[in-house]
Formats: sequence, C-alpha cells, structure tokens
Amino acid sequence: MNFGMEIVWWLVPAALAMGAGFLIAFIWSARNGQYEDLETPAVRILFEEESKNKKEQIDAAGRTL
Amino acid sequence: MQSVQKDSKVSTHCSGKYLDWDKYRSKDVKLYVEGVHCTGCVGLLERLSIVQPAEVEQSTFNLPQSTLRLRLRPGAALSRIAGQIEEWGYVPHLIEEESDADRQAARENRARLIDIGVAGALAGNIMLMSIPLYSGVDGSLRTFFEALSLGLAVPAVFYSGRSFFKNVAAAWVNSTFSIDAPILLAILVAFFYSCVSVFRGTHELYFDSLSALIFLLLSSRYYLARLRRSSKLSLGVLDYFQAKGDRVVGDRYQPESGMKLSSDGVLRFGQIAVDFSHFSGESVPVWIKPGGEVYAGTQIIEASGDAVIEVTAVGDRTRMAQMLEKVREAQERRSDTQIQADRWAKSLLRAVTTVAFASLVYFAWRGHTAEGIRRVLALLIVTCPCALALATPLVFSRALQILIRQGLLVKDPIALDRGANVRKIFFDKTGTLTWGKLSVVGGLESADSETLRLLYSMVTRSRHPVSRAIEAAIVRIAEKDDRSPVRNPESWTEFREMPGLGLSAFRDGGEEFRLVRSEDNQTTFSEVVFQKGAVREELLRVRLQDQLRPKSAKIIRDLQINRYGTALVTGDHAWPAREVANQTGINFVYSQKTPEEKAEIVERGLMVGDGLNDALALSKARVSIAVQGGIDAAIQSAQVYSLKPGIETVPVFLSMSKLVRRTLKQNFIYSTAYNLIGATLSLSGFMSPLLAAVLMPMSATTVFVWTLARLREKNA
Repeated sequence: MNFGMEIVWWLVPAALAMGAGFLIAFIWSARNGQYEDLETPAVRILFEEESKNKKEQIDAAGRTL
Repeated sequence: MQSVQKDSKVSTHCSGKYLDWDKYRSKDVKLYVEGVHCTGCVGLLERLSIVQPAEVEQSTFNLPQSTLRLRLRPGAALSRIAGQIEEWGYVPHLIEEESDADRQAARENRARLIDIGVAGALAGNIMLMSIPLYSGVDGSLRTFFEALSLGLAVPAVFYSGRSFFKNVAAAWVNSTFSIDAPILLAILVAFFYSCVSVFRGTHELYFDSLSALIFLLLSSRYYLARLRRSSKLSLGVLDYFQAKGDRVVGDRYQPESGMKLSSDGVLRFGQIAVDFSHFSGESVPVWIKPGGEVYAGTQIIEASGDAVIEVTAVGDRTRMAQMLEKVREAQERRSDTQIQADRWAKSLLRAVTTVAFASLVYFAWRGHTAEGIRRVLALLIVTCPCALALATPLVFSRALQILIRQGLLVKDPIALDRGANVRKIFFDKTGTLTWGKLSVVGGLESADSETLRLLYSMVTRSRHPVSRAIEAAIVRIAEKDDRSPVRNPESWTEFREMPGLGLSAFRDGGEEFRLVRSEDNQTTFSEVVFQKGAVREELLRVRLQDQLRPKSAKIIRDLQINRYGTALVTGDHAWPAREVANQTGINFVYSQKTPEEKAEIVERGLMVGDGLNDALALSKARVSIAVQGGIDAAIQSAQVYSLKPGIETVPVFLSMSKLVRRTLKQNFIYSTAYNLIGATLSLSGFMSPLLAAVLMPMSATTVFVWTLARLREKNA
C-alpha cells in the first residue's frame, strides 16, 4: 500500500456524494415537469422583457401538468 | 408581428361566435390554437395576461402541442379572450382538460425518466469502481471497491430493474414466456454469482456488466415508447373534435351559422344546414328538420333563428370519437410480418435459454463452473433479441407516423405489408380521378350581363350541384371583367325547385324564367337550358362536366413508368369511362360494372376509390385506399384513408410499403447474423459478459438508427 492511495478512502465517498447530489437534482427536475416541453422555453427567452412573472408562469406550467 | 402587437386592443365586437364559451366555469382553460408557427406568435399569445389583465392571470403556450393554457381571473369572459386571439389571426378551439389517461401517461413518462437517470448514475459509478479492480488493486482497497460495487448494484438490480421482474411475473401468471425472461435470468445469475464472489474472495465480479445492461435496456425501451407515442398522437387535430367543451347530455342550445359542433345532438326546433363532408363524405350541405341528428366534428352552415339542438352525447361518446377510437384500435393490430418476427424472436429466445441451461450443466459437471457462468452470461446478454423484436414495431410505427404527415391514415398495418407486392392498381372514376362534382365547361362566355344577372339571382336560391356550379362560374366571370351580374339580384315574386327537372322563378310582371335539363342529352356532359317566358325562348345553353383532377394523368403515368398495371373500374357508361381512360392513359377499362362485379375484379390488386360508393370493392381488394367518402365510411371498408382528395397519395403509399419491406428484410438479416456470431463467440469463450453488455445495446441501437435513417419522409 503506497502513500498516495490513502486519499482514496475519502475521495471515493466524496465523488459518490457529488454524483448523488446531481442525481437528486435530476429527479427533482423530472418530477417538476421540466422535461415535458423542451421547445417552448427555448423560444421564450427571445421575448422582450415585459412580463414580470415569467418565473411564476414556468412554475405554473410545471404544476398544472 | 410587432405592428400587430401595437395595434391590438381589447376586442369586444367579434366574439359572438364564442359566446357560449362563457358558460365554461373553470379557472384553468386549455385552448388548441390553430395557425401558430413562429416565435413571435408564442410571444403574442403569452402576452394575453398583459393585454387583458382583468381577465387573464397567466397564459402559457406549449409550442409542440400548439396548446395555450390560461389561468383566468374571477368573472373573466372566455369569449372576449377568444375574440382577441381570433383578431390576432389564430383560430382558438376549446379543449377538454386532459383526460385521466393523458395524466397517467405523463406520470408514467416521468417515472421512467427517473428510473433511467438512476440506472445511468449507478452504472457509471460501478464502472468507475471497476477500474481499480481490473487494474489489480488488492488488500483492503480491493475489499473496499468490491463492497462499494455491491452496494451500488443492489439498487440497480432491485430498483432500476424492477420492470423486468414485473414483466416476467406478469407473463408467468398468464403462463406465457416473456422476452424479458432470459434478460432477468442473466441479471440474477450475474448478480448472485458476483455476490458469492465478493464473500469468497474469488474476484469474479459482473456488477459492471449487469448495471450497464439495465441502463442501456431501459434507455432503448424509453426511446421506443416515445416514438410510438408520438406516432399515435399525430392523429392530430382530429383529436380536438372530441373536445367536450362545457355541455352535458340533455343541454339545449341555439346553433349559429359557422359553428363547429363538439357534441352529438338532435335538432328539436327549426331548421339547420349541416356540412357533413368530414364525416360522411357528403359534399352538399344537408338540411335537417326537427328530430334529425347532428354529430360532433360537423359544421353548421346555416341555422334558422328558432333552431334548438339538444345534446345527446359528449366527449368519448360522440360518433366521431368512437370512429377515431376504432382507427386507433385497428392500428394496434399487427401485420403478418410483425407476427412472424415475433414468433421468430420467441423461438430464438427459447433456444437460447435451453442452450444456456445445457451449457451451464455441462460446465458444472466438468468442474468449470466459473468459466461456464462467464460464457453463459455472455451468451444470454449478447443474444437478447431486442434488436429484432423491438425494431419491427418501430418500423411500422415510424411508417404510420410519416404517412399521417403525408395525409394518409392507415387503419390496418397489414396494408403496408401487402402494398409492397401489389402489381395492379384499380381506380374508381368519379371523385377519384375526377373532381366528383360538375363544373361549367361552356355556354356562358357569349351571354350578356343582363342574362347572367337573372341566371345568377336564380341559381343562388338553390342548393343543387348544377346551380352551385353555374353560380361559381358566373362569379368567376364577374371577377374577371364586370361586377354587374352579381350585383342587384332580381327579387323574384315566386321561386320554386322542380325536383328532377330544374328551377322556375317569376318576375314582378308575371314573366317566368326556367332553368331546365336539356332534352337531347347525348353528349359526355350534362346540359341545362335557361328559358324565358311562356314560349320558353332559349336564352342560354350551359354545358357542365365532371372534370379530371389536374394531377391524375401525371400520377398515372408515373405509376406506369414504375411498372404498375393501371385499370379503371366504374359503374358508369362505356364512353365517359373511355374518355377518362384516354385522357389519363390508363391501360384497362371496366365499365358498367355492378358493385359485386367490381369487387370480383379488384380482388388481387390495390383499389383506390370512394369510401361510400365503392365500399364493397374496397373491402374485397387486397389493399384498399379510400380517397373520399369521409372517415366514417372509409374505416368500415378501406385499410387506408387519404385525408387529401385525389390520387396524389397513392404513390406515396406504394413507395412507403416497399421501403418498409426492404427495411424489415435488412433488419432481419442483420440481427440473425449478429446473434449467430455473438452466440458462437460467447460459448467458445471469446466474449466477456461486459463486452456482450456493451455490444447488445449497440446492436439494438444500430438497428434503430438504421431504421430511422431509412424511414424518412424524403425516402418515401
């Protein structure tokens, strides 16, 4: 057992924890309906900045689905 | 688009059409909006909450589905919002909130997506853990990585892989053999053997192979399900005719001209003229008297002021909905090729499972259990026949999807199988090669404008096809040089239609005008005479004919170049049939045939005809395409219904059938070769289970990508 390998003992769990974090983020976004309509949000970014409640709108789309 | 935005004001006037929408008392409303194509349109529609802040709280548009979701404020009038949308140039349709089935499907879709995500994460991490194991660490680090792989493999098998357990269990209950059985067997053998290895320290781990297998299988199945779903959804706008709206059975309402019906009903009072063309194929509006039925999906052309309709069926219960349901059911049916492919795949599966068990027993008996498990695992994984079993339905659903986009509704996928072998094509004449309605071919050019004015004011009062044709011709002439014939219509003191004979009208001074059928009807066209006074002074002689559709001749020629035999089958007399045959270059003519005779003639070929009049011939033909006659009639008799009139879609269908046949053949050859080679390599020990796990989905993906690349619109 050489000296450098010691680090693995906490490096691997840390890597797994980070992976788990991203997995949880993915599950959250899938549950939230963010993969239902992949076209319109891309188009929505092009509108002029007028409607103040854009975030609410997007949330509403997710909720009502 | 910008200018429209600036000019747009809250509309209050043009909303009469949508008044009955105000009864809709829901806070959340979904509209299908016709005519949205661009980014600007989306921006405009989502501005509704700014343009009409008193009524709309939120508006969210879904571009792929073309639906607008509105959240209304209390007391909002949907009619005004609809009016605004219409003023912007789109057509709104009120649609029912999603059915339970839709919501269920959306939930399932999400659940599967999450499963794939979890499986992918687990597989990726297990593969990373395997790197040190393969590169030969030992001691406590080895135990550490082995334990971690095992820990990650447990949820991969029992959580991500639970659908395999379910499928096999379901098949077991029905005492059938699931195609998942060998996969599950491979996963379980790999898992438990690896577990035993971990505890005994023999270093034979297959966690990487099995988790990769689960992830790749789930992904390819998800992708396939998505493709299939999109091909079903694309029955498209027709779905929206099933909109429930706000009515319930027993409601009474007053129909208005131009209204599109969303429920079935019975007319209680008054009179209405209904356009049934989408429904039954009848192109002339039908006048309905009290007691007569109307259907969702039809349109009211005219309604008397006192007309009242009572609702008899809504939503899924309407005739239109039931018809479309039948089309969907029929699409589920499997074609001969599909059944063959399935049978082949299943017998392969049984063979593989048997060989796997036999080899396992053999290797164990010879004392090489570890080696035996390695080879059998590779065999089970590599021969997993998803390539063929999954690609065959994909070929069909892709083909149906493309055909719908081209205007062909395929009821029975068997038509695609048979279409590839058809050599002879039979065409109906009236309505198929020709327009199916009369148009004026001569007699009006020489008339003075006063005669035209009198004739025009007469024919506009009648709904007879001949009157319609003459009216259209006069309007065309008037548009070209002189508007006077269509202005100041004569106000007749008396007007009547003489059934089977013609029209008669009296002017103020008692002078009679008549439009009657010509006595000497010997030509290929029908002739009518416009007469004046008691002496029947002849003012005009108008010739009408059912003309050939402009593209008919070219399409027939193209088909002949592609070595198809063409024939005309008609109940009509010999000479009009001959003439159409000469104009189009059709090789054979069968004229004056009864429906029974027609059916006998077309038995071994492709019949293209009218869903109503040629129903018998269509149902007897080997392959049949109905080009008109409404969906109702077509789904009873024909395998394919063309949403476009005329024979334009026939070559599209034929080339698609051939393409499907070729693609299926290639897929079959490829997957057979792949499986044979794979099985040989695995059993002789040249393939490790991990390599097999990677190869298996790669072969499936190859077939998928190949299929999709082949089946594209421009190839058809």
